[in-house]
Amino acid sequence: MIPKPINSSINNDRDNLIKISVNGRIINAHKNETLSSILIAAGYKTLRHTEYSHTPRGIYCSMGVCYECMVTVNGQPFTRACKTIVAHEMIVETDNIIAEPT
Amino acid sequence: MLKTDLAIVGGGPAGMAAAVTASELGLKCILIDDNQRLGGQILSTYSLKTKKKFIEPEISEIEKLRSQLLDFKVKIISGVELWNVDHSRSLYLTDGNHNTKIDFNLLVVATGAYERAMPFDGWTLPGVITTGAAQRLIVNSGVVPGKRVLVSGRGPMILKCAAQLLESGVRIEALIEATPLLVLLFNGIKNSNHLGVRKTGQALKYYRILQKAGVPLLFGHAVVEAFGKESVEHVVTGKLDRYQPTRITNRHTWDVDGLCISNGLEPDNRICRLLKCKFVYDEVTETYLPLHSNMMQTNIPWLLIAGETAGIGGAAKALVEGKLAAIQAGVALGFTEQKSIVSIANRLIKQRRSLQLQSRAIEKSYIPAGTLMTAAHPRTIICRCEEISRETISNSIKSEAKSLRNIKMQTRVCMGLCQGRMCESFLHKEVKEITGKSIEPDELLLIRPPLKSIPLKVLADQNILDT
Repeated sequence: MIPKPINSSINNDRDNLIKISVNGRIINAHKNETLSSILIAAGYKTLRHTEYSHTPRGIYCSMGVCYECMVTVNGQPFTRACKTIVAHEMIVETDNIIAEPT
Repeated sequence: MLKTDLAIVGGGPAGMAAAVTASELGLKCILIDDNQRLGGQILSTYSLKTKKKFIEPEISEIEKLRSQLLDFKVKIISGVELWNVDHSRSLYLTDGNHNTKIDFNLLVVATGAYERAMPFDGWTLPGVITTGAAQRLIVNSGVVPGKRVLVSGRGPMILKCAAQLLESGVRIEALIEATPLLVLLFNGIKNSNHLGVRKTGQALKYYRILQKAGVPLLFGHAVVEAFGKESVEHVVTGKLDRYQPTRITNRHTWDVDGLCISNGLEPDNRICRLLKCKFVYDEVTETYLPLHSNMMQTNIPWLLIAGETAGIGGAAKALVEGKLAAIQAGVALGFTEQKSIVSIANRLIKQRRSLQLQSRAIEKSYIPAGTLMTAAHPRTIICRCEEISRETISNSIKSEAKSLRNIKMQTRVCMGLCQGRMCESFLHKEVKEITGKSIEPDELLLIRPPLKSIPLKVLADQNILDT
């Protein structure tokens, strides 16, 4: 079953609507939004687990300093979600042991 | 490769003001920023939908600067990371794939600041974010960091964040301020001549918003623990002791799904450290700052600084400093005569002095009970990137480690992707608590290129190898 698209923001501006894929799931977003806000709105709080202790991490500083929000964007790993402006048909993968968004 | 009279790093209020003033004087300048949109963090926490009461008075001037930059046709390179500056007066930028080299005559560093937290168990959990991050989320796409949120830390930033979240429909469980109320009132009154009516009024306005909504305001408290499975679910707060930094009483557990923290700002002056500028320690803000003149010159003749890089003080101070740095650049390169700008410069220096006194008065009013490390247990993660606990660091300090470099080598603290931006101040605090001695400015960790974590392919980019 294909999950229903999630509307990522309270922004109702239909003209700038684009679609991105997060872990294979289609999410509606708007142009000029940062990936970090779209991920949070769509329920992806945990974006990765750490290398050593495998503890969950997510958005922290949201200004490109802390490197906590690293995800894979269009195949490019270690991309900071907070520094990424979404584009149509962007493919995003968070780490594969992520809890399902609620 | 590009060539310019003046390169300006940082497109916030300071950098934009410097670019516009320098262009007015006839200098050719290039403005560099790591965000797509200019305006710095102050504009990233503001949009056309922002309610009037949350708009800082400097916003209109910053917006005006943006259109002036276009009028002057200033070359703007945005959305790039600067990863190296060298003494042959070149800087290197990357968009993540390719390199750009810029040769300049003079450089203005206006790289702003980032937030400093107070480490506690669970501060690495998703859902625990900085107050600035919370504000950017609301502004950027109307997203809120949670439904029930606790705001905690020290200073005016948590206050504004809490009020803004509340008005965006978030339930604020409590506002936790580390400064005891009596200390805040006493120091506020003592420093009232410098604080000014506007700043005090702003703070009172936000307190009133919170009070009207029935948000509990806990002074002299701090978050001491957060826990949850995949993200923050419960937060424990406690009362801090003014005289015994390790004593925590009145513990209370809150059920939340978000926690916003901030204990002040850390100036980003890593470019100055990379270039081995002379630094001084500022007791009031507990930060290391490049030694600089009234005209924003450092001890390196071609290096100027402006904005938070020269000391935390807000957008108004940044605007003035940007102008001063540009005037100094104009004089140094012979675009204007010293005589003709003396009166303007003196007026700006005077303005800067009073804004400095104001921001220092704010800092001196918020004197927290406990220290930055009060809530950290031996097992608490201090270095988020490399997952280094407080215990590991303190053991290294107590052992033969003689310098910060030794501690870094032994433990890997400050060696992760953030390059120590998140944990360096904790390391300094821990050394001071154990050895009783502050880190001298010349004992700080060396900063080396790359200034930001960049892909190896960038370092191997042919364009740079050729030049």
